[in-house]
Amino acid sequence: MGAVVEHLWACLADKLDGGWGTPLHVEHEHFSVIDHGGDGLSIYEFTAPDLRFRLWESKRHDSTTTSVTTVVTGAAGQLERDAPSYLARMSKPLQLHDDPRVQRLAGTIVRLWTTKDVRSGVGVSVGTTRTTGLPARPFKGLHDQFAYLPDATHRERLVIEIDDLEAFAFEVRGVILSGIE
Amino acid sequence: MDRALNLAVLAGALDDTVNLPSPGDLRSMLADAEVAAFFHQADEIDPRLLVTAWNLHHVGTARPQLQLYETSRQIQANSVASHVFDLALQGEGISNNERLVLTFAAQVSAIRGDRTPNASALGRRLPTPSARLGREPGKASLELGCAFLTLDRSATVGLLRDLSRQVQAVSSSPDVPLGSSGLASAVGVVDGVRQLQRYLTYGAQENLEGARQILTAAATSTAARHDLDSRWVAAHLVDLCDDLGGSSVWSILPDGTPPGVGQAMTLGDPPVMTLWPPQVSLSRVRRPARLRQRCGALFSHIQRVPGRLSCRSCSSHSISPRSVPACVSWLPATAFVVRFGMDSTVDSGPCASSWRRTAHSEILGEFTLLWS
Repeated sequence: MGAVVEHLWACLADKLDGGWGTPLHVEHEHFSVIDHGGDGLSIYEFTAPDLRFRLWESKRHDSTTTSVTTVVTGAAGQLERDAPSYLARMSKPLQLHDDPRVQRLAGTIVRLWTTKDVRSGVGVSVGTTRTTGLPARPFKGLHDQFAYLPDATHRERLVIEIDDLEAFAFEVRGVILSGIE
Repeated sequence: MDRALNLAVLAGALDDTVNLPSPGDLRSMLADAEVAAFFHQADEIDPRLLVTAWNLHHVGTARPQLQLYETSRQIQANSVASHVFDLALQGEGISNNERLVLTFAAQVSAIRGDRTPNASALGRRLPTPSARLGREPGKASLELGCAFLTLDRSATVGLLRDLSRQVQAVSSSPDVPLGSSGLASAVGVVDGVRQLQRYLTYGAQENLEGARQILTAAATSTAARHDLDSRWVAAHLVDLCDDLGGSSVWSILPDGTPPGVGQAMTLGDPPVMTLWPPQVSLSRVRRPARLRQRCGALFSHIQRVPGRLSCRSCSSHSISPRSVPACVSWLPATAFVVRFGMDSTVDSGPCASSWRRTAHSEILGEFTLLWS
């Protein structure tokens, strides 16, 4: 189910306009031996010639005992903890990107993140089953973790509601298996 | 350890970066980690040290072509990053996968921080490679990358053979071509490392250029964009093509040196695949034309010596000509000759006297002038 939720974000990521316009480049759906998906990176031309970037964490919410707020808070903590390692690894192949601006951003991206530069941002995406309503402030944890960022455009928030997420994930699995068999 | 805790080196590496520790704080954290590692007191090092290491690794390994950081700072950053990763690897609480990632990062920083021998030592501590390329392409790339940066020719060649068989098996299935599949980057790492290994062993420039092209394609593959590990390994190896092109045995041998001389080093046991920067720089001292001419004579002579030599400056026991490359791995070829002459250490075996005469008459006079 986690992979399905990550893929849902990946399908939308190219077109998401969270205040900085649609991304120039998106890195999504990564699999690594130490982090299994969920991470993503969007790069924007918003302040051209300097580029901006947003580090994403994509999570599923499939529990009746855990709130979306808790899932978001966990994702925000994960972003803060793993960012230097992920960005250092992800940015290396991006230094070979066709666009010289992307190359330069990739060569400085960990420093921009560490120094809390205004060119850096975060995003959390949560996939969940449609319910009667979300908590009042589901992204409070994201705001608190990254309160140093100047404004809301630096903290993009996305909830993807599916009528029945578990059934949808099961259906996707069936389609994939039918292709393999 | 002395250099790792040197305040000037730490300050140069950190370069006043906001939100990273001060040089003094970093030295204190490193000292604590050293003590904990020595007494096996900690499963994991302070997370702030790892954050610092990834920062410095990123600065240190940024593409030189981008001209974002001073070369001296990149070397210092790599030196410190490699040391911190090494400390992290002493912990017993990390998984094998984390160990692979940290080892590869440490090896790259060691090589680009002028500490190539450390890269070999780091790689030798890893468990035997076990990944199946079809199921774990990223892990297979990391294992191969680490083996290659260990500069252990026989281990790398053995792993390459195994992975090549796996690539053959996967590509024989009636699916899409591997180049446009999710395995494209991992297959590119295998092909690229094979080319690099051939270059280091036999010195053909076309292999180095071939490796650069294959690895660039692997790092930027859209078909395998999700395979972060393989793309990461490939991108670092692209940059290392330049470093290896300047530090391989082939890059420092004088023009006209018979290929067998280089192969005596690269195919020896243990093999010598690259030279350490101080060794490379020593081989490029003043009056290069005359030196190269003399060194050419020496290299040819090393190749021809049929008897046994004794080298007290390198080890206290007798070594065979087959082991001469091992000495060269410790000392640059030029210093190797100087040591032999200064210490008069070539003193046994049927050919030793003629070898020493040659060294003295053809080489040492030249070096005595240069180094006096």
